[in-house]
Amino acid sequence: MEARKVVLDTNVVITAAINPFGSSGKVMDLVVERKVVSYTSEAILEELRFKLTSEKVLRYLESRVYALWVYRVFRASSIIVNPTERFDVSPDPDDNKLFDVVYSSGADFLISLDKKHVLRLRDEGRKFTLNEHEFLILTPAEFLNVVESKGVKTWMCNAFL
Amino acid sequence: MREIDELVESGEFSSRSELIKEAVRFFLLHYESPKELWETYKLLARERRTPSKEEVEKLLEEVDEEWKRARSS
Repeated sequence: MEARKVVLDTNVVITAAINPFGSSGKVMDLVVERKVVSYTSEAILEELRFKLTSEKVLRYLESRVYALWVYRVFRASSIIVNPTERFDVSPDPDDNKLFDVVYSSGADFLISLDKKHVLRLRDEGRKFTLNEHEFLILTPAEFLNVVESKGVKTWMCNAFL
Repeated sequence: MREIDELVESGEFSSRSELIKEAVRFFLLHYESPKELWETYKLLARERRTPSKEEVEKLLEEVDEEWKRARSS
């Protein structure tokens, strides 16, 4: 069975870098183990690299080497797409590139910790639709619940939509 | 260690730290398995202090503001 496709917000990767043993770190585990397929874009990676190497984040990672280490892991574990269709769905224009990648890759899940914008966009069923592409917007903890309840090898996106 | 010093003395690298930096860069660029790289990272991070959820949320907001400022300038 084809692995489910996910798009990770930069805040998930940064949180995983700071605490690799929390929910975000466990999502990274699934990504690096190829139990889910992560899609990203150069625009997302540019933001990630900037934020990971920010002095504020480096205080927690202790060294720039660790920041680049996580960046490298995420980049090497993800499929980089070049979206041709652009969306304007979030009040924060920086978030739109996540939606561009979801649509371009046909991802089933957008995983984010952004309570101010991204998570507010979903409906009561945690769904969001771009043109006719329907997907779930979840926090890392919610995503892990879905994986655990369905079993990572057998879960089908349609069961949650 | 002696081999490292020999490389520095022979002029291949200007200092030990430069050699180590280069070795880490090589490791990051050429390591074939992201999974092994991630597992090693987790081992190294094991002793690190885990900040609270609130602390991480605040940090994420601050870094996002920094990113937006840098983009607009």
